[in-house]
Amino acid sequence: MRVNRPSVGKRRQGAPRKIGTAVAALLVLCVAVSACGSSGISGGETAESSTAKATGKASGSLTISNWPYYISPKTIPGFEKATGIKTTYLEDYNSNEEFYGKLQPLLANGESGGRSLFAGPSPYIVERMIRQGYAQKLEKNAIKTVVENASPDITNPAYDPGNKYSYPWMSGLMGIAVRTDLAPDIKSACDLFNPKYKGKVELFTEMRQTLGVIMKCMGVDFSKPITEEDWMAAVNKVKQAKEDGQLRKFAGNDWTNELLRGDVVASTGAAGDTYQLEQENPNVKWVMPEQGCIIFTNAMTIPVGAPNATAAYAFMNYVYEPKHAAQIVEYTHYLSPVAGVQQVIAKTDPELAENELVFPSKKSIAKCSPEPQLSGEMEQKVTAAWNAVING
Amino acid sequence: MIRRRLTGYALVLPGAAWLVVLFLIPMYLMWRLSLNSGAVESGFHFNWEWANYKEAFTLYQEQFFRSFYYAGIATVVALVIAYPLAYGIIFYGGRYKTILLLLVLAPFLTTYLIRTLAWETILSDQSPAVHLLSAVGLAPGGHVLGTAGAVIAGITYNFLPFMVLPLFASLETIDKRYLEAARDLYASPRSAFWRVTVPLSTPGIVAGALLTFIPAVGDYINANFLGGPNNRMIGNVVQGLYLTERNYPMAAALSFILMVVITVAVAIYIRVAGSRALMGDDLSELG
Repeated sequence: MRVNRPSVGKRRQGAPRKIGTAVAALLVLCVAVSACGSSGISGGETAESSTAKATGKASGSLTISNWPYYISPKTIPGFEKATGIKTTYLEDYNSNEEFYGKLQPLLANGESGGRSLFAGPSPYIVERMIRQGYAQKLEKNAIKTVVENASPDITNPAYDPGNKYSYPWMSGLMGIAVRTDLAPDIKSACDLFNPKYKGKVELFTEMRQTLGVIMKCMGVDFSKPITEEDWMAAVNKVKQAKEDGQLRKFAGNDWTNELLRGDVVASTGAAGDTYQLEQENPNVKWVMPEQGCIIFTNAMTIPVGAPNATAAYAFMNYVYEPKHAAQIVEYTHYLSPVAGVQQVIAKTDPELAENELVFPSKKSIAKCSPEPQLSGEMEQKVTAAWNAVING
Repeated sequence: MIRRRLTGYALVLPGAAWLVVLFLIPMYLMWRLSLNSGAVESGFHFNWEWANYKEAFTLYQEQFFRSFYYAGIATVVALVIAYPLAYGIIFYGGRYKTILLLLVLAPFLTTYLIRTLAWETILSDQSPAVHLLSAVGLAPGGHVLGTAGAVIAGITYNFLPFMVLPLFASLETIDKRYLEAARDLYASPRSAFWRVTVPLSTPGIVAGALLTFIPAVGDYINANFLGGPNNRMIGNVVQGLYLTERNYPMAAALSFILMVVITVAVAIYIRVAGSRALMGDDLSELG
């Protein structure tokens, strides 16, 4: 059992000096390489944005990022067949902040991580990308189908006046997804805080959508500018619920399993996603909150450094063809930004064309409001408070 | 003499270069980043922003202490499970020893993430396992997922082999004649175990505890999948700060605090419990 003991005394002689030398050498190396000082993640000044150039006929390959549950399985094969463009469709958009956080260091260096098109960003991310010079201007000549078929309700949005940088992918209704067998009495977002469902409730990490739905049930008037007090009251409501153990988790797109399994009985949820879950478990139903829902949009943008922008344009044109858009609507049950989709669907599936959650009438979404926006100091304050709740 | 010294340097060189390029330089970069101020949108600037450290610790001390608490319990539980396991395999395994050890390690041929996700399914509220735990009163509120217990159990399970292997290695080297000698000197089996086997296996215990505790403190996978919003550990916070808040300086500061605290804790631990055990010992000190 005798193990040679290192002769500690001897070994230590002169060690500090050597360590000093090593550190000095390291510093010299750093200065020489000059990589140590300027970390590549300085976000930086608003850059002049470039225009994504279309060149000739679309060909080659294309990589797209989007949220899961947001496309028809027929779309990509159809597009590949029609254009011969090899397409990689990544469902790697788990949450706005997370996706942006992962890509931002690349975008700051003028790279897009190989992606030619982002289809997932929410308006505030699009706005941020434009401000940072991370979104490229669109060549309107290259997207004639898009310009022609875009429904007038969705063009020229406040976040991108004149659609210089983006066109909507789809929109959706954010309300509540409920396991009707386990929690039949949930009718409003405030019912998620009923102690009866302690530890069985889930909320999205998307601040504007989650707090939007909650502010609705708290009686905030969305026709007036929303005050900081309103936002903070909603944040505090969530904070309290978290501390009380009411919440099972804060989820991104990983919210579905718990609801399908029944670990979670109710969650904030989008109508389209919930419809798709309902196909797996008929007890999962989307509920329009009594006080109204939040209407969200995700937009297609071409990021800086996007390879093969021509192929991205071809894809945008493809999905703005009413028959292709109808395909996506049939599968996802989200709201299409393309005019004429309802007519196409009326021929194949009249029942779906009448579905108020897919083609909502003015009356059915009278109480709903667009995703509330924030800016400046108020945005920083509310975001910091929200992050402290979901990340603390 | 000079030549001998050169040989020494040459042998150390690959390892040293590896450490400098992949450890020291990134550490230096991270340390610099932790002293930056600013935001992603306006850019970060290095200006000795020590406030990052203060703020990081004030805001997240709860998760900080929770991480040490969870990791500490998991290490103790892992030791309690692993010791009899390794002991049983060595002293009673006979010719199946190797196979038994392989069986212990077999689950770990699957990736960490998949195993944790499997536990998420096993521990879901509707599962028979949870019904059973509920029935015996071990799952208050009818669920296990989203509780501290689930996170600690996950960590224990995931890091168990890091405890079993060093214990196995040190128990295996014990010369059984020492135990016979102890019996000859009228030691009861129990006292032979506590006064001969355990002291001789201390290097394994110390190494196993370190190998379990250190990665467990920084773990975030278990808390992410098995825990709830009130079970988040420091790793989750760093991940969130980096990925969703993009507060890189604070994430770096928090990582640094964690590293320093672990280093100090481990240094104290080795000094108090381990130095003799790790460096080897002679039987004369067993008393």
